[in-house]
Amino acid sequence: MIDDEGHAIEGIKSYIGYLPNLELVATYTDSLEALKEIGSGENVDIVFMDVDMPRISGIELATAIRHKTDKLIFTTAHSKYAFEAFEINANAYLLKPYTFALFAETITRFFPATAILPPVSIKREEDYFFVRNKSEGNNLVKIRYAEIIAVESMQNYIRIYTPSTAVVTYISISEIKVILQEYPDFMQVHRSFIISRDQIDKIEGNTLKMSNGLVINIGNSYKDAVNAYISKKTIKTSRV
Amino acid sequence: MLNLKHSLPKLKNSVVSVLDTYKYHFISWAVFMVYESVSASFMSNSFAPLINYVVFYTLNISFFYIHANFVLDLVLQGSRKSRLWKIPLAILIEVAIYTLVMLLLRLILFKFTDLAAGKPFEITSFILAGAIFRCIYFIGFSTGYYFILQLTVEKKKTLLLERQRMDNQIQLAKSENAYLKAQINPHFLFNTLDFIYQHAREKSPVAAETILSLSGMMRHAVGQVKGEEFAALGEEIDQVENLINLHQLRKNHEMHLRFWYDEDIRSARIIPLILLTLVENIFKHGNLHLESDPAQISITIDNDYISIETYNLISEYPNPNGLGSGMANISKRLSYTYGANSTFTYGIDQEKYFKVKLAIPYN
Repeated sequence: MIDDEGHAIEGIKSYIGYLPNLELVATYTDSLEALKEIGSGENVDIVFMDVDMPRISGIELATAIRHKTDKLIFTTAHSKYAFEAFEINANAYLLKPYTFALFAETITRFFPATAILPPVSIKREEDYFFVRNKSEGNNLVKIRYAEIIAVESMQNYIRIYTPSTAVVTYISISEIKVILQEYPDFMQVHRSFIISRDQIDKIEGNTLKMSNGLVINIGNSYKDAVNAYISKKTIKTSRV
Repeated sequence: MLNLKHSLPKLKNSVVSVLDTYKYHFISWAVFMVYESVSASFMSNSFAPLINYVVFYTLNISFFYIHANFVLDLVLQGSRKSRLWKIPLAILIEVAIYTLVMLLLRLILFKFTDLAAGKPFEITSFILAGAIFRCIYFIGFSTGYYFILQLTVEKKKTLLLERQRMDNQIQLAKSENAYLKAQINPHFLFNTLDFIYQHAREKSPVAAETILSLSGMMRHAVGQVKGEEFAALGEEIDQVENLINLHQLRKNHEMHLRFWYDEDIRSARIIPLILLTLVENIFKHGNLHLESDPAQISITIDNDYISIETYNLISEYPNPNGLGSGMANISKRLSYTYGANSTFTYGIDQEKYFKVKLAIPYN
């Protein structure tokens, strides 16, 4: 890991700390020192490095030590050097500031064995779970699966609609999807909506009206699945 | 008209440039001389010999410029009080010199030409009075010319000062811009944001997340290629998501609005800053507090048209920063790029909703 900014090294150190299969070999704030040590050391799996550094630039350093590392990932504040980076076969380009999620995703793309455990895990045999409600000072509230009408994605948060309330909590829609897929009642009908099929009141053209009045547009890529479900459930007369 | 003093060196350059510079002077004098001699000939029924015109007009015109360019400058230099005696004195001296020179010229003409046709050389009171009259006549003209000249010089000065002031302001704006640019120098900006992010990540996840969304928006603003006509809709959608996220974070996720679009629309290309402006307007002018009536932003494709629709409750507290200019700007830009192929309508519905509907060709 090479970066002339101390906080960037600290940041990546803590990210690496979350991934048990990853071991940090060395960090450098001086690119010249990095060139000497990596150049004469053993091969490594990944090198992370900044681009804009004094003395030797990241691009020059990377060209010199590219053969010593399997993967090369640039971590930099701006994308000015993206073209040069790919010229020297960089594998990825992380723009600061980046999240742990993006970091982990990038690593697992190259080394699937490091895949992390799902951060949200609950006992599935229960018929309820607890989440922290952002609107109530992050207190834990109980939600019964049977009561969920829909789950709406809002960037890194979701809003869970129940007949009595709507709870906002810091979980991503992809995380809740993993949990809800154990329950056949739930289906995704839009990029940002997972609904409980039980709670559909009406289907009007391209929209679903839920039992609490919530109106949801059906996403293009989810149309087929929704239509298949609806036609399976529709009673038709056999009279002509 | 130009001041003779300033352009004296030019005289040396070439006759052509002098003729060009003073063409209005030459034309004016020519018209004046023709007018005077023609009207004089009507009155006396005869033309004076050409040499007379040449000699006396040379004298008159020289006097005209000497008075305007040297005498008046000299006389008007001192205090107001000194002018009281300087002006009459100067005029007296000028009249005296003029009369003397004129008499001298008459004598020379009398001696070296036979124009007098045998008549004796005499100085009558009529000739003297004529000389004084002519002198004062041209001094009057010359003074008028002098003040007109002063006026244009003053005007030019004011113009120059005005221009300098403008230049100053442009310079100021330039340096302010440079300062601003240094502040948002991408490397400096994002390294700083990264620094804050790393420090906030564990202690305040909400602050960290805010910084992430802010960085996304700043990166878009800094990286935007200037003057590019079209941009991927997906990039703008990301910025809208960032914008919504920033507002939601600040309002504890209690703002009610939905953003509908399908992934496959991201590759469409449209003119930038249309969608973002509409969403910004919703935050500025909309009421997003009613869970049962959330604002809606939807992007759909029908019949080869991309349609963007927004709908929101109007805020009960009107924002003084007008909405009209933003909408007028969108309208102008749409018709500039898409012409009659685009439609853009907006207005108030049922007295409480603001609705916008926009359609442009899909690719």
